[in-house]
Amino acid sequence: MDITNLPMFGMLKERLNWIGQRQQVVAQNIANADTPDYRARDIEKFDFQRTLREHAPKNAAGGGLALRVTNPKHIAGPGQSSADAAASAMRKPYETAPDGNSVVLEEQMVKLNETAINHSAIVGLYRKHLTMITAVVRGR
Amino acid sequence: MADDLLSTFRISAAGMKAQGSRLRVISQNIANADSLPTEPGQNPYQRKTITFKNAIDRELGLKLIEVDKVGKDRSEFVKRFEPSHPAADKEGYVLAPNVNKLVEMMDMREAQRSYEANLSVIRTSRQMLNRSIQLLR
Repeated sequence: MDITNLPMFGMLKERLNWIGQRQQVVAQNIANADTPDYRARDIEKFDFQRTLREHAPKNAAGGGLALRVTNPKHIAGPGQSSADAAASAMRKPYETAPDGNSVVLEEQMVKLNETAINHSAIVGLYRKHLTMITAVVRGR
Repeated sequence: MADDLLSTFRISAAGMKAQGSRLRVISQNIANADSLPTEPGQNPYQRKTITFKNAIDRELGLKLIEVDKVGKDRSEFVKRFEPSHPAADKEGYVLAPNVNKLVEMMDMREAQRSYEANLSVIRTSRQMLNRSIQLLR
């Protein structure tokens, strides 16, 4: 266990990253709620299993779930890069206006609140873990 | 991450600006709903329309919204029977602007709703940023 690279914080960070991107996409949709021919977009769902695999603690043999890179010439295993989630137009929008705009303001508001709640949950978790570490450091 | 949330402000602000311009056009239409010509044969006020478009901000790499163009509504003028008006023709009709106040009011409400939606995005993003900053305390 390395204090500078805790898997828990890595996972939370990735989740926060995803939340930030989603917020951006939702903001774009809402700003373009009256733009003709604008298709509402969304980003792919956050894959917890994948993140878990990437951040799973390594065992004594250095195995772990993810491929280990010990040399710069090694190629990282699949799903190891935490690339940005791709934003794409929604395939089945709720409804499309006659001018070709498929943004439904209500739907976007739901997504907005969903993102905000998720964010506060993740930040809460982050804080809890930080408190735990502080408790250990202080020895109280 | 913070970059994403900060760019949200830019996107929503651009949306609010566009809705503001829309409101300006609507107020022009409503204010001129009774702008009749002064002489026979002249045209009255012509209703204005506004359209939006999606523009890429290269500096930020974001898709922002901006006003595409303010055009003119080419629908026919309304004929109003007012023989005493200086601009009345031989039959006593005056051409009145093609502004329908009901439509303008509806447009106004729509602009207001969109503006509020953008505003609540900014509010939510700000709360999220604040929560992240609170982690430092």
